[in-house]
Amino acid sequence: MWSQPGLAQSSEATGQLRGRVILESKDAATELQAEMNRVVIYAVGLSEAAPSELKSVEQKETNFVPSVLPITRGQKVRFANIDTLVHNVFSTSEAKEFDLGDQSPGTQQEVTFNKTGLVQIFCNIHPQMSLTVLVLPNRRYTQPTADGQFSLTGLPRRKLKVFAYHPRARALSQEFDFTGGELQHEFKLVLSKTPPAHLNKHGKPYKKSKY
Amino acid sequence: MSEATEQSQDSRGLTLTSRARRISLSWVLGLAIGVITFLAIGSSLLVGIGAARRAARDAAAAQLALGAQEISNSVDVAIEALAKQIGGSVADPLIRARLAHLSRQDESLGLAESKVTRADLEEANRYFRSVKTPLFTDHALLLLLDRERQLIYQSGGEVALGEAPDLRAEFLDQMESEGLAVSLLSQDSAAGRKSLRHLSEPLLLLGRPIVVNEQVLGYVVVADPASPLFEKLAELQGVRIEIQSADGELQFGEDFDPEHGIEEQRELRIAGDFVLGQLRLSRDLRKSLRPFMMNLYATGIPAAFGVSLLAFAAAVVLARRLSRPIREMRTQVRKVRGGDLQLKLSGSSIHEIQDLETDLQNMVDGLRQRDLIKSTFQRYLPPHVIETLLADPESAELGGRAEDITILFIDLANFTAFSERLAPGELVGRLNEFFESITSALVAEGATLGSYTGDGLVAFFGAPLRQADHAARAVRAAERVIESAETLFGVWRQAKLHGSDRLGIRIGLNSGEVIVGNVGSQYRQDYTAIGDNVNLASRLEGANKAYGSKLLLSSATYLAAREHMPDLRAQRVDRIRVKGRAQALEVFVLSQSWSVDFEREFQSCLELFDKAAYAEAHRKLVSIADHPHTRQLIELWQRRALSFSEQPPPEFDGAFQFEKL
Repeated sequence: MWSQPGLAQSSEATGQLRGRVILESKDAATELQAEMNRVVIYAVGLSEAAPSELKSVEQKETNFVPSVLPITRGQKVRFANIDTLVHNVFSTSEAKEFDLGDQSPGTQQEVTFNKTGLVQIFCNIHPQMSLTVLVLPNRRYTQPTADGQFSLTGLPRRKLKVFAYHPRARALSQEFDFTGGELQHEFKLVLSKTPPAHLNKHGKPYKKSKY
Repeated sequence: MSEATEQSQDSRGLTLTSRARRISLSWVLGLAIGVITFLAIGSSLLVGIGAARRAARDAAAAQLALGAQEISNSVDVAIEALAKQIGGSVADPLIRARLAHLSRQDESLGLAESKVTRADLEEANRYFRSVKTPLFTDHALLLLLDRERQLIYQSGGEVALGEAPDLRAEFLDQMESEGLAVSLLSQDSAAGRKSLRHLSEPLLLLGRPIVVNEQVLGYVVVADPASPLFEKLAELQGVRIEIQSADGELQFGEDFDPEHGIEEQRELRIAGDFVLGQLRLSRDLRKSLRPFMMNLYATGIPAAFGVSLLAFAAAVVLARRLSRPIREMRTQVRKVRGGDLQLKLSGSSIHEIQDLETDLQNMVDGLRQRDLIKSTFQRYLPPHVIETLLADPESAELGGRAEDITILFIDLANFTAFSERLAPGELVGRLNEFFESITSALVAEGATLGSYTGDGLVAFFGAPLRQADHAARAVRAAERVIESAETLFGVWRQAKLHGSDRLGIRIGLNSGEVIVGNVGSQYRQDYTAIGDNVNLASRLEGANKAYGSKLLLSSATYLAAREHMPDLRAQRVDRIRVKGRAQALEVFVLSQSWSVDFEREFQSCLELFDKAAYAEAHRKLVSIADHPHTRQLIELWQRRALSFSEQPPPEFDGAFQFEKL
């Protein structure tokens, strides 16, 4: 844990953005409430050190839980397999390429994310498993409640750009001036149809399986 | 099913079946089988259609998958080839930097760390410009446009655009005139789409703004009409193409309900690493299946109808075969109705029909038997007796059997004198009046009427219907007959008919075993009794003349009747011997009208006579008081007693010869 010059001090951290996220979907089958907890609101233009807290992602019932994880650059994530099956966690994203290999049920491994960016993580055995890790430059991020209300606090009192992100939406960004302290905003994210099939760790399509 | 047919009677009493609902067996069977066949074929067709649909769906899905793969491959290959042709490769950092911008994911999220500066871009631009040779790629036309939509680089074609053309007008015109399919995706998508329609067949495009430091520096457009990629896309008729990128979405083709179609999705990747966007191909299966389905309907439905009709026809033929024996039965039954009690049935192999034929045969046999009984007896027996007989036809025994019965011979005395003065028609009429009255009396006691003997008739009790009290019935009947006859004679006397005052009635009764049966030939038959006992009854009837009586019974009748009529009073009036019969016959009259005294006196006279005390008998007979209707009897015995007392007969066995009465 080390601080950087220019890091916002706590006395400055009084800017806030409150508001609401509204989700829209062209696909009638989408459950908007369930999708709300995959939204991340974050601010860029500010660097902070990573907390020592270890974030955890579970492989459970052939799913990643959670499926969207915002973290700070430098933070560690623990991948725990609490499923009954073997999984193979990997990513080919530029921000973090890694391959945990076959992971037996009951085991766990840790990965440190040192570069900001979007990391798409999949399982090489089960194509339906998908995890998006947002590696952010700071700790100024939040996720809305089920009804879409959010509150992004601890912001420096200056201009910052705030993004609203959802894995299936075109990200929205807006520049705000937090000199005045608290601001209100509403983000409207339009969800596109479910993302297509991704390739496996070798860059090849998954073999179709009956299961 | 009571409403299925209604039966009514016509004026002749024939049963009519109304035409409420009459369906022929042929139709029922034909329709049933026709419908079943049609349904069977129909359901097979549906199953077949279902299978075909699935097969078509799988084929279309495979095709889409292939198409999507090729498109995404092509894009990837296109960019790689491009990079190669400008002397670099996708591994080239500068190229990679530009590609990184193309993929733009982290960039668009504000999370990109590596930043390409404007200087880098300008250097790349210079590099691209320096390559003057008209590059043609097998795969793509690459246009790099700056922010003002000025072309900064192009590959392929021989279009020289000049340094800063106004893309909106000139560039598009030139592209069109060169026959190049070019599309432009701008931030103003509406304008972009307009240009799409304006130009010929744009099929694939990636309009990616090149953004560096949050500034849009230019655009990338990739399109090549000659590319096999486009050919591939052109093959995908009826396919809807959607391309999603961070900048937005592009769609070609008609939207449709995803339920009716199949989808295939791919990432559009460059150089294995950079994801440009998502490609989705979808196809409306209804469209692709339509020709197949039309064909199926065109051939399948007529075939189904054809086969059903065939089945219908076959069923009709079968039904007619089935109904033939039934129709034959009907013909035969109508003959029976007409009176011909001979049933000739053809025989069928179907056991239900066979059983029906057997039952019909039995029924008609039964009818014949009953018919015979009725026709035989209806003139002899009252209806209720016939009904009893019909209930047990076997008991009728028309052939002949021995029975213990009582026979009555009834005669109209002095009929000749009566008939002399009557016209034939009136004679018959009067005779029939007589018969009408006495037969009513007889039938009332359950008599079987025998033959008419001119001015008399024979009746008997105990056959064909067994009557335990046949003798008693006969006695009662005889009394009734006398009463009826006397009444009738009174009427005739009142009418002053000639000879009516001398009319009388004579009845002889005997009981015993006789032979009864239907005697005669096919032309005429009578149910009669034959035997000695019958002759005896006849003689008794005649013997009434000797005693001046109306009714004589044999001892057999008297004794038999007394069993059922304990109060019956009869008195022996004679003992006679009949030729051919060894045993003497005791003859009785009914004596309830006699006083007790007279009866006792007379009886004692007879006893005296039996004891051969002829003189004493004579004295008694003379002294006996007169009694109604007995004068002739007394006088006869007086004569006998006198004659015997004067001259006793040498051998007298107590019985008088009948012939000598």
